[in-house]
Amino acid sequence: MIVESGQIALVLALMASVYAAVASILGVSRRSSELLVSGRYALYSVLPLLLVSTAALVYAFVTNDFSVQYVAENSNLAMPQAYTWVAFYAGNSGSMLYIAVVFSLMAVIAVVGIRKALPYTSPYATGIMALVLAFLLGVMVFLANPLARLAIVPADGQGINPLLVHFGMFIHPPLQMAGLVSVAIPFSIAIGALLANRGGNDEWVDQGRLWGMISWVILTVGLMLGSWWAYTILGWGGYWAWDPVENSALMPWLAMTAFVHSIMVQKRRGMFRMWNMIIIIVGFTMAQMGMFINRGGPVPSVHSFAQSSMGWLFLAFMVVTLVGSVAVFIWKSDTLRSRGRLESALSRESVFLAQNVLFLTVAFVTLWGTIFPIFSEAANDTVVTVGQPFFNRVNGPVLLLIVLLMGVGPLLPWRRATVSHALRLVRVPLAGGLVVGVLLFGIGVARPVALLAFVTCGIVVTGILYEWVRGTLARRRGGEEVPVAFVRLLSANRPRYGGYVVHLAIIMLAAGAIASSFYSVQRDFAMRTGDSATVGDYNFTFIGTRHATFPDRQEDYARFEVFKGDSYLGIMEALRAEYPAFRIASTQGAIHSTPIEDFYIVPSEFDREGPAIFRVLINPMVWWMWASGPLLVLGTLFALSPRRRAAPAVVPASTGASAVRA
Amino acid sequence: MLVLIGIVLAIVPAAFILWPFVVGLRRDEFDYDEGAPQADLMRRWDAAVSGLANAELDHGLGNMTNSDYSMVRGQLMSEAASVMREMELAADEEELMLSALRDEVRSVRSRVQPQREVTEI
Repeated sequence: MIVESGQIALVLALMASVYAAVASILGVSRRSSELLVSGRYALYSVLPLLLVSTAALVYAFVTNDFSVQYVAENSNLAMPQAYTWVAFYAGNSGSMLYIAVVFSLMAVIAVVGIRKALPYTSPYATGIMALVLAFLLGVMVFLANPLARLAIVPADGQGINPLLVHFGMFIHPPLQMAGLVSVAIPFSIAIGALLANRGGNDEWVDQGRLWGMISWVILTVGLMLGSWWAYTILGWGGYWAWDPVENSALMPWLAMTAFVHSIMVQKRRGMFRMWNMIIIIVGFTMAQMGMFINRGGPVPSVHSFAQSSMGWLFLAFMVVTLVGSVAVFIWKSDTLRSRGRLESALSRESVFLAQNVLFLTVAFVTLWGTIFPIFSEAANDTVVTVGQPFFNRVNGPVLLLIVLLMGVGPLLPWRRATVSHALRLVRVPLAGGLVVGVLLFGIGVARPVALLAFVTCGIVVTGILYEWVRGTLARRRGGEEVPVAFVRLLSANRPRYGGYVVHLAIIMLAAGAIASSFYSVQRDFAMRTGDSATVGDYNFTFIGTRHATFPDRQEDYARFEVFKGDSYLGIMEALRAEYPAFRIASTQGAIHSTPIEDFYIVPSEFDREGPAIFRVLINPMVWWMWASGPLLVLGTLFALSPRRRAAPAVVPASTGASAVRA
Repeated sequence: MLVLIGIVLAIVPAAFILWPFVVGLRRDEFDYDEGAPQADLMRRWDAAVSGLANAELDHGLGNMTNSDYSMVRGQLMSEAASVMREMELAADEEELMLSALRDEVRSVRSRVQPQREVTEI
């Protein structure tokens, strides 16, 4: 009965979201406050209804109710209850329910935030969010009901996908899915403003930027956790393979990175109004492309967990929203004239524009590489996949240019800078970059491209530190202690300095990626118990295997005694597990990680008898990539944190805006 | 029992959704328009104030030369003055807004160069 209650709640949630869409849009077009508020309340009521459905599904998991098809397909009696959370979104329909719950929660928060400040935009935005929800719920109710019953109840379930049984999977997929769907919020606000003929007013920009950044940070953390999971659990020694599913998460991230930068220009200068609309449409389309590829798209991927035959439905929805939003954009484009204009090529807004174009270039190159197999199959009947070398060769230089602009842009003031002053401003960062280059060359980093990339990182870091030092010293001359001076400087402009912290985190990430891409050492060994080998400074001995049997899997551990020079690093164990029910074998590398480098052993092939084959890697500076995550989140939170104003915003009664700002 | 649960699940949100029609609303949802000229003037004012604060920060940090700073500051001040003219404010309201602008700039300047005082806006 609890499960059936969840089913009823799901149908009611669908009805409420359809009503919310219709009532909100009718309400604003007929200027009926009652209809409009009623539509908003309908959107609010979707969340509790979905929570009832969620509770029903969780109950079915906890009680091992295998009469529920989704529970039977994604859990079994042996599954510890802690994995109920993972099992919830491990399959297609459960992940749809998860996405709908998360999106309805975000939609409620967003609508509460915009309803007073954007009374004309808000109903359209509410309507668009409700339509997105209606699509998700419609798919669930009619095609992929997570609470559907089976006619014949099995004694035990099939169990959870073993690759998902990892700490990273507790966070990575939910964040990734939340990140993809969250792009719909700034999209709804932007298109809502456009439909309300308020796209040319910049009132929507604050909320658009806020939700753009929320979406960006969720996508970023999701991507990083995905890479971390690939590195630690997939056990192939790398963290990024330009796999279609990875790309599908990267593309909206690139578009949203461009958006959170260019929206600042609209806020400050009233410019880029058309551009921002285009970027958010691109971002939302790419987020939907991500969902499509994740859910049974035509492109082969090593880790599409929520595979289904419904991918084409998502593609159709993507096409409908793309055509619809482009039509609205064209229809309303005359309302999007910029207030200001670019006064100089040497200004922060010009750099933002250049960086935006480069971000979209990388996004479209990635899109092309991802969908290329479809075109190749259509043209030649042969599936040609585009591999890592293509992406690295094409995207690598563009990404490096983006990093360089990341260093130069913040140094330039808004509006204009003279050439001579701009040259003076980049003098110190350039010198810092060169020092980094000379030092690295001195310790043997001699590959020109790697050196150039590190010099670029050095320029960015020096630029940030240089500004902080100058600002802190200026305050220090006023008699403040250095820590106080530094903190007060940062609080002078939180969006700017929060952004700098994020840039530092990106440099940590970039440094790790550059070092591990250019200087990773990889060797393969066939070893018998007792054999020793050497890679770099590391000396290791294969001391044997250890076997463990579990109800759902067989685990074999290859054990190594590892030394670095004369230092004993301890025993390292690389794991290979087999899951007979799933016919899946998974590996987990043995990793000794330090800020300098990771010593990584991949158990390529081994059993309890005969020689074993291991791949051994030394990956420099990968540690910095994972360490950049918390810094990146902190920087974003700092940039978003509200600043206490020196004086309250003064809104003269005669402007008529006092009701909102009070 | 299931029928009862279904009815409760349907009635509670339905009552919530229909509430505005049943009891009416205390305020008009459209009493403020984010696209109204006055609201636009306020946004232009805010943009000018934050532009001045940014120019102050960039100038204080040495990112902006004196001549660029003067030019940008001049542009933003005339934008602020033009906004105030269009707002058709009473004298006391005008003074209130100017004082807010001074405070904002002073706050940024004191954060960058605490020893310098705002001499004139």
